[in-house]
Amino acid sequence: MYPALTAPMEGRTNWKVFAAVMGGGLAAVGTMTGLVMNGVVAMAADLPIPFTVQASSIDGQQFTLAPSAQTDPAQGAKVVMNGTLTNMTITKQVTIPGLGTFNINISAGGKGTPVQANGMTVFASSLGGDTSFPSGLTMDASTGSLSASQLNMSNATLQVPYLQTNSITLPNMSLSITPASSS
Amino acid sequence: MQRVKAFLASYHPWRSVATLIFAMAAALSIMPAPTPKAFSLIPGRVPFTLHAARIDATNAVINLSGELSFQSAVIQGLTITYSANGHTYTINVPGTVQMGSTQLYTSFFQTLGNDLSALGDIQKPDIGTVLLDALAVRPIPELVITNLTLKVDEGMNAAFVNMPGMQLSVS
Repeated sequence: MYPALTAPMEGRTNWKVFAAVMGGGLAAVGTMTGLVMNGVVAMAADLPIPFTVQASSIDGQQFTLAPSAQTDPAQGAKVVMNGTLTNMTITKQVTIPGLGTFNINISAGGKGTPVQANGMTVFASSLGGDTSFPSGLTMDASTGSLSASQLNMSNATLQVPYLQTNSITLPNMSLSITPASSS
Repeated sequence: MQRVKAFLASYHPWRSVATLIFAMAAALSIMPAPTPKAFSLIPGRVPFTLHAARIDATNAVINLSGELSFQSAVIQGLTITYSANGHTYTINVPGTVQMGSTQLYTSFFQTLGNDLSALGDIQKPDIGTVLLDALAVRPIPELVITNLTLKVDEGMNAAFVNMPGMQLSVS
């Protein structure tokens, strides 16, 4: 056996190097978060938890709505589209034992810059709003699907157990956590 | 030759018309009477079910071979249901639906020749006119049906659709 392998390790942290690496990492994360919040950079999102999405308007392209398959990650109406969402809010109520129930609220897409989502797949247990298909609507009984090249919804509300997007921008994003009793 | 000349001399157009009518009557008398068909859709196909409290359609054409089309329609109380994988998907529109030029394709119409009242309560025009126009594949300028129920086992194309207050639910 070699003595070098049995001897205890010696040395100490170089705090200057640690601080430089840590600071650089935090700066990079902060910059990316800031760019996402300002809609400069799009991120991919995969949210497999139930929540509520509301928007004052949704303008979708290449819209399809079809029944979910047994093999899908969630059940419900499967909505696929590219779209912009104005004044979008995502709300989720969570209960933390011992602390109470809280509303988590993420809002984005206000101040004239809507959220842009590409390759969005949503499994909705319900959805509603003033809806129009200005460029036509096709129903196909062989698949149970509705499809339209264009969808306009106003005052939209979706109960969503699962959402996935290839990319999404969240301009003017803000996050708030408030006790449920105060809302 | 004499017989031919005699025939031509005695020929009158009404005779050929009468002969044609007689031949058609004879042919119809030996054809089997139509038997009422059971409600049948494409086997193995899950249809959409459209229900409307009232539809006012313009220039509607009912083709008993399987197509309903109209130039435009105003629909009250529209509900569309579809069942798949143990779930029922329901689209309910409490407001007034407006549709542009639309074509509906379904084998359901093949049974309507025997029972057009299965489509709903035809308010305008009268059911006889609707049946005659359907048999002739003729546009009906104004078609009003209440309590409409329509199974669509093929599909639908609409030029535009407005659904105020649309609500989709899954159960």
